[in-house]
Amino acid sequence: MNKLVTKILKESGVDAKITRDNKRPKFRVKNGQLTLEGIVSASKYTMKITDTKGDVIDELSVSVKDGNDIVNRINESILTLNKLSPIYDNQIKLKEDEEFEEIPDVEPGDIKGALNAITVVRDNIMDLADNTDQILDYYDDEDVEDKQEITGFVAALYDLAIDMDEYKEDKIEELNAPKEESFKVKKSSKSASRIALEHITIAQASLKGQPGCESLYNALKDIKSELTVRGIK
Amino acid sequence: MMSIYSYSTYNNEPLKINPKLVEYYKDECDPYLVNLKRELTRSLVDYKLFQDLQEINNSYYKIISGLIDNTYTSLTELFNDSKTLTNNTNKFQKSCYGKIDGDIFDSIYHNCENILLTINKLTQTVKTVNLK
Repeated sequence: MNKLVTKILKESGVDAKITRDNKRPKFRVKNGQLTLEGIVSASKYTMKITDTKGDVIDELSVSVKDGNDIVNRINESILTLNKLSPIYDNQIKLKEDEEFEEIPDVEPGDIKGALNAITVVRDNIMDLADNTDQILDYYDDEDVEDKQEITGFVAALYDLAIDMDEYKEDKIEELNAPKEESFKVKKSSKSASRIALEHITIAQASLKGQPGCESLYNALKDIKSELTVRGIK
Repeated sequence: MMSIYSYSTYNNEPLKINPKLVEYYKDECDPYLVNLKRELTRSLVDYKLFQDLQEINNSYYKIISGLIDNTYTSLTELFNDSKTLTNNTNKFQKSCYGKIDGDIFDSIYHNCENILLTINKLTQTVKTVNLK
């Protein structure tokens, strides 16, 4: 039995580990974050596919009549593993993207901690703005007014993120300034960055979904991200 | 008269059923489950579908292993688990609808129905044996 299982797995082209047990050999195949474990005997085939946490994604325990049954069951399990693995990875990535970063706890009076918390909130608002931006996809091209509304929400969220960024930078400057010196911290201009971002967002919305404009759309998106992170002085 | 669904054995004894008979029904059902998995793998587009299929798996194996390991002490438990299998199967079929096209969907649907029919035959047999 061990030789048969080894042969099947070798022909499948997978990197497998097989126990030397001749009556009930066990095998293990990994693909990405998923692991297929199977046990084969003359009358039964058992398998399960688990993720790194040990959660069972798929399992089967069936009778087998002959060698052909064993070949088919093992090959089907490997096919399932290979098909499931990228879909599972994608699912995990989507889940991570949906999760906002948790805002850290800060002790009262810890201004630097509060500023770090603001950075996390700012990042979350940026993610929220990106997610809101994707809502534009749900509208038809002729729904201009609705698209403008959504674009307005996106721009407002970016505005808020920039305000928080600027507040943080001003506050850091204030904290780092020598205490004996008294001067008014120069506030950076918000209007320029706001206006630029609003224009970019509107331009992006008009390019969205237009054939041949994908790279332009992505370039504007990158500019917007850079602008938001760095701010305009 | 006591409803059959509230029937339970004296002293919480396990339901009577010949394990070989359960194996017989399992062998009848397994090809449907294998076909179902094969068809879903062929046109796998959505991870959620596999999660829904796993729910069917869990409820199916719960019934089979419960009968083989003699853990059921009442028909109510068995029929509740059978109902869970039906609900999970319906949910899976609904999830597949619109995501999987034509012949493959038909095959998935057909195999799901056969699993339910076979498990229904099994539970009815257990009921008949235990009400005698």
